[in-house]
Amino acid sequence: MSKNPDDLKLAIEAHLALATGAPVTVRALEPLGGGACQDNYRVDVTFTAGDLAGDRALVLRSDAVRSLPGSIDRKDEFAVISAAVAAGVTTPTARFLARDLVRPGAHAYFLDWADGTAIGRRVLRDADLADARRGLAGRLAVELAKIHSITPATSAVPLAPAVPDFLAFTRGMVETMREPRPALFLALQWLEQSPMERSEVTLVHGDFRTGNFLVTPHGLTAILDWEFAHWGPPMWDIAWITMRNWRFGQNKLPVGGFARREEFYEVYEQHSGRTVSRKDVHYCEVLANVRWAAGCSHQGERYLSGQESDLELIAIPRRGVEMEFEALRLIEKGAP
Amino acid sequence: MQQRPDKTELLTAVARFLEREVKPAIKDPALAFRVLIAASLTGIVAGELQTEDAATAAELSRLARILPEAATAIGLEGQLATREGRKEALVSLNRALCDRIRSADFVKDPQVWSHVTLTLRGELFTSSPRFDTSIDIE
Repeated sequence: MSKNPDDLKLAIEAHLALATGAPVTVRALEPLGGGACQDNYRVDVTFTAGDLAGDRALVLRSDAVRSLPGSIDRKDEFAVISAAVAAGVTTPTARFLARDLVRPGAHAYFLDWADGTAIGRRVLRDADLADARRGLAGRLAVELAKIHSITPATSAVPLAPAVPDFLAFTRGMVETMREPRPALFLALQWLEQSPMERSEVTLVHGDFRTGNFLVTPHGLTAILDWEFAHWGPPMWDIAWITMRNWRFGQNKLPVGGFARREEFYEVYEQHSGRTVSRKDVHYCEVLANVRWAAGCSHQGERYLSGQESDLELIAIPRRGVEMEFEALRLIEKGAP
Repeated sequence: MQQRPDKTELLTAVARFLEREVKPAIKDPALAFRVLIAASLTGIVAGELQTEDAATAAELSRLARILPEAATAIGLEGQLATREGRKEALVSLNRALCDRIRSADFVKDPQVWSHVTLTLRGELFTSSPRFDTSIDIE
C-alpha cells in the first residue's frame, strides 16, 4: 500500500531535509495522471539550503506495484537519467534517490519539473505548437544521437544487459500471454529467419515516442520515461518512434505522427556518425509491434492480477490486435 | 429472458451517454480520458455481441481445415453445440496452430497466412473500426 498523502508529505520532508541538511517544507503534493506505468506525483517544495534553496517544483516518481516485463526499477532509472544528463540529453535531472518513501520496498526519486505537454493528440494537433512541430524531428534526432553515444564500454551505468537477446525476450512475452495468438508466432518466425544486419549495442531509451517527450510553443523541453532503457541496438529507438501506434492517426507522417522519415534520419546520421539501415529499421518495426502487442496483453494482466485498478490497463489488450496486424502488414510489404 | 432492448442496444446507449453527456461535463482531463475509454470499451463489447457468433463459427471452420487432426482430437463436432464449447475449441485450436507454427516454417504458407490476417481483420472491425488495413501505409 502507498502511504496516505499526509504521511507521504512528512516522509518527503524528512527525506529531503536529510539529503540537503536543512529543513524542507512540502507546500503541495498531488498525483499526476497520464502515466499508465509508474506512480508519479507533483511536489511543490521549499528548500532552505543548498543549490535548490527557494521554492521548487519537482516530480516524485516511484516504482509501480506491478510493472511490465522489461521495465527497470527507479534505482536503475536514476542511474540511466544521470548518465543521459551527463551526455547532454534534454531530460530533467534526477535527484534524491530514496527507498521505502512511497511504499515499502519501492525506490523513488525526484525530477526537476519541466513545462510542456506530452499528450500525443495535442503534440500533433495543437495550433500553438505548430512552430515547435516543425523543428521537432531535428531536435529529437540530435537527442537520440546523444543517448546512443552512451555505450557499455564508456559508461558506468549499472544496467545489466537486461535484454541480452531482444528477440528471445519478446518471444518470452508472447509465450506468457494468456491467449495463444498465431499472428505473433508467425511474426516471430519471420524475425528469426531474417536477422538484423548490424548488431551494435548502445544505451537505448526503450520508449522513445510521441507521448514521452514534453513540448511547449518554443520546442522540445524534455525527454521523459526511461523505464524501458537497456543496452541494445540503436535502431530500436528509431523504429519505436516510427511505429504506427505512436503516430496517433497521422499515418502519412511516420516519425511520431509529425515528420517524414528522411528529415529525422538525416539529422540522426549527421550527429551520430551512424548510418540508418532501412532494412534494420523495418526489422525493428516488426519486432516493436510484436513486443507492444504482447505488452498490451501484459498491461491487462496488471489489472486482472488485482494489483492495479486503472481502467486504461484492462482496456489496452483489445488494442493489441492493431499491433499484430501491423507486424504482419510490414512483413507482407517487405523492407524498403 | 427479456429480449428488447437487446444487449447491444443497451450497451450502445451507455457508450453514447458516456461519450456525449458524461465526458464533456468532466473537468479533470485524466478522468475525462478514462470516461472515453469506458465508452470505447462499452462500444467494443456491443459490437462483439453482434459479431461473435458468426466470427467464431467462421474462425473455427478455417482452423478445422488447417488442423483437421487437432479438430478431431478435441472433438470439435461435439463442442460446436454450445457457446462455451465453441469458445473452448477456439482456444484449443489456436493453441494447436501456435504449436504448429513453432514447429515448422509457416511464414510463407498462404493458407495459414490468409486465415490469420482474415481473423485479425474481423477483430479489428469490432475493436478498432477506424483502423486502416490497407497495405501501402509508409
